[in-house]
Amino acid sequence: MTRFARSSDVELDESAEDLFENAPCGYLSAAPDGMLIRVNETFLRWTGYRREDLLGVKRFQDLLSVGGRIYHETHYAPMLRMQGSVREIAVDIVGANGDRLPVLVNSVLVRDERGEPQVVRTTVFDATERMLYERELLAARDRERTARERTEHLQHITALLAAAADAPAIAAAVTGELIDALGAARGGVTLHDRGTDERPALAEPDEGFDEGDEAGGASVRLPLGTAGRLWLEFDGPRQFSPEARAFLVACAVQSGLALERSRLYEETRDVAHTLQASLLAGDPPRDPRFEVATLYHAAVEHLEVGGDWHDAFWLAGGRIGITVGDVVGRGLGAASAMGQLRSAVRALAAADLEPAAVLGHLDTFVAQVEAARYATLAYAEVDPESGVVTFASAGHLPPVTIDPDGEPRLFMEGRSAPLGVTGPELAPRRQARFTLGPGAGFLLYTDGLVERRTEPIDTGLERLLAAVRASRTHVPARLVETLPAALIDLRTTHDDVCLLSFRRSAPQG
Amino acid sequence: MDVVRRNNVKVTGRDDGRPMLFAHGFGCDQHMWRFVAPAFEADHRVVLFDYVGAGESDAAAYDPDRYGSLEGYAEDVLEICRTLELEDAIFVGHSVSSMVGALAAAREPGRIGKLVMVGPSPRYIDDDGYRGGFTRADIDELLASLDSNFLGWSSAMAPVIMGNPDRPELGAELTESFCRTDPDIAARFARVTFMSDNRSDLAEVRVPTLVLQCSDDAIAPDAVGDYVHRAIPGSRFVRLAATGHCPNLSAPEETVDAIRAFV
Repeated sequence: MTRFARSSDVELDESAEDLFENAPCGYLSAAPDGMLIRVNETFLRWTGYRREDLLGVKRFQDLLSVGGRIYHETHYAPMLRMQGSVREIAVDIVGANGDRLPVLVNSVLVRDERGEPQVVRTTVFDATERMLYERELLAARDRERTARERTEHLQHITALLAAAADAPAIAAAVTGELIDALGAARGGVTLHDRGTDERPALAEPDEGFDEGDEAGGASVRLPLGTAGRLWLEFDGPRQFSPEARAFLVACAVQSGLALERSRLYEETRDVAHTLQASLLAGDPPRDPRFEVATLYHAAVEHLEVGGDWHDAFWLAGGRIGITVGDVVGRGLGAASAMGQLRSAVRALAAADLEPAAVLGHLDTFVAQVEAARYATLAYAEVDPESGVVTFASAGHLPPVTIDPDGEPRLFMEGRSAPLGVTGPELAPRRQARFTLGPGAGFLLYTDGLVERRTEPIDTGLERLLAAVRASRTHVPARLVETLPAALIDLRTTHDDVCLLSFRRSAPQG
Repeated sequence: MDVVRRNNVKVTGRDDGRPMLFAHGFGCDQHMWRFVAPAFEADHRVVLFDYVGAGESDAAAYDPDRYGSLEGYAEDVLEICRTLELEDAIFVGHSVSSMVGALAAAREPGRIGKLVMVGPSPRYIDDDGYRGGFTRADIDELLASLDSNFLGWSSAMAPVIMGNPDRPELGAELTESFCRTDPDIAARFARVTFMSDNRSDLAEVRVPTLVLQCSDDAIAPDAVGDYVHRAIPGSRFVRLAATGHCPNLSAPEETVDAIRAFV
């Protein structure tokens, strides 16, 4: 016993024994294998054990919950052996009545003079309050992490929506991402039919959420504007936090807007396709002295219409006007410019102007129709009686002349710049003549038939000549079907293809 | 990819010795072989490494998909073998690494010629007629307690503490401590370890195998070691007097002797 004398008359008794037994922490001593050899009163009081329940009976790890026991074996014991001490390990001690006491544990390993482990001394601190606090911190960390992940998902969904071309793609993108983000079992988007008279509905955080119960899993049903409805189903019950609800509502609003956008876009596209179809409508001239056949193939990859066109029409004096052209750009603007150019060619040709003069007047015309500028155009005036063709090209690809008994050739004359490209330094509009014998003809086409992004145009033209050579005896109606099939993959081509084939009839037997 | 850096591979011993690869288990790093591996340096080429996320491995190389199953860890082992051009190596795996070794040996038996399994368990959770020693609820509790453990917090907070110039001793202590793991990766590794079921892989092991079973092992009880021994054709079984799950630390001499007698 030690006596501490203070300056005042107060004397404090402090014995080492009492300090050990009633210290403000639990003390445990254990053999290297964990078997308890000494514990203090504080520890017994906290846990409800009697000394005889523990000493020589239980190992330290036996007092831990199962999770703690695994942690002891995989972390605590190895570290104690290697470092000689461990600090601030959080475990739950299971008390005599089964209650759990969250504690922080510090241990030191005492070795004998030979360095062999002798005893493990452990202090145990009640960490109930601290654990509550840590649990709150952990919960806050988890909430923050979830919020960050949600933001990332939302950004990702927004990017996917921007890239999605149509309603099915939008539905697939948002469904896939949300199933992934929330761990839903199933999900989908129900699209309303067009013209449904449904009023616009905005998703709300307190509507459409069913948290489910033991009998049925949770589900979410949210309106996507007027376009449709989003649904998600979970295998079990589930609580939707305010953050989760806000996230889903934001996704629903974004998806609704994207669907609305795609619907408007589809309508515009349909209008353009209808316009294009009506502009290209009308049968070519029919006459026993010749045959004309045309083909228009729209690219699959592009949803907007292109500005290619073909035309064949009667002129005064029994001649025929024939054009194939290509307006720069795509969409409604390009389709309407194409329609105007097509009408302008007919009007100018009807005024009995020669092909070069027709192109010259079109230069003036496109100066006022911006969308038609830089269009390319091949124009041929054919006399079916004599077979004489007067030809002029405004920057267009050369026609292929086809003789049943000879080699197909590119007709390289009569060429000048695209429409609207004028100036004193440029050559004037030119035209040239060639004559078709009986059974001979020619082919006009747009670049989609020959151009490939990865090779020079000459290679495409060589390929075209070879394909024409192989089918030079075909009638025009068959030729325009055969050539695209031979030259391009119609399922993947990135450009529209427009073809016109003219042939003088062969003399009757 | 630099496998040596990724897995903090350390090579010691004789260059011309038969290679021995020591693989740590869940919860620690290559330091847990420090009382055992040196005993083999005189005769063997000794290779130590840390799994990605443990010790001084490159935690940035952690890929949740790759390491979502023990197959990914086995692939790391084989990549280490290929990088070091190891043939016919003796693979010594502690705890979960026993199964990693089994998978690697089954996939490329030429690389791994012998297996030593220290405290193996192919399945921790009890299953219809099988006693793994734990219920699903036990394992769930472990996973939850890992998340809240102060150790995890310490290492998560280490950079913050280390950035505190007023208390440099804290940073130094954390840096020097053994068995540092990235807490997120540790939690995922725990899930992979304790949720795995590799019972059917044992029959695929065709190389000579030694099963070292500790006495009174809370992680891998006697019945489990016995199961592993019976499931691996022709395996040898040695029961150690050492108690607990880490005989390589608590009884290094006995562990060394048992391994030496086998190799």
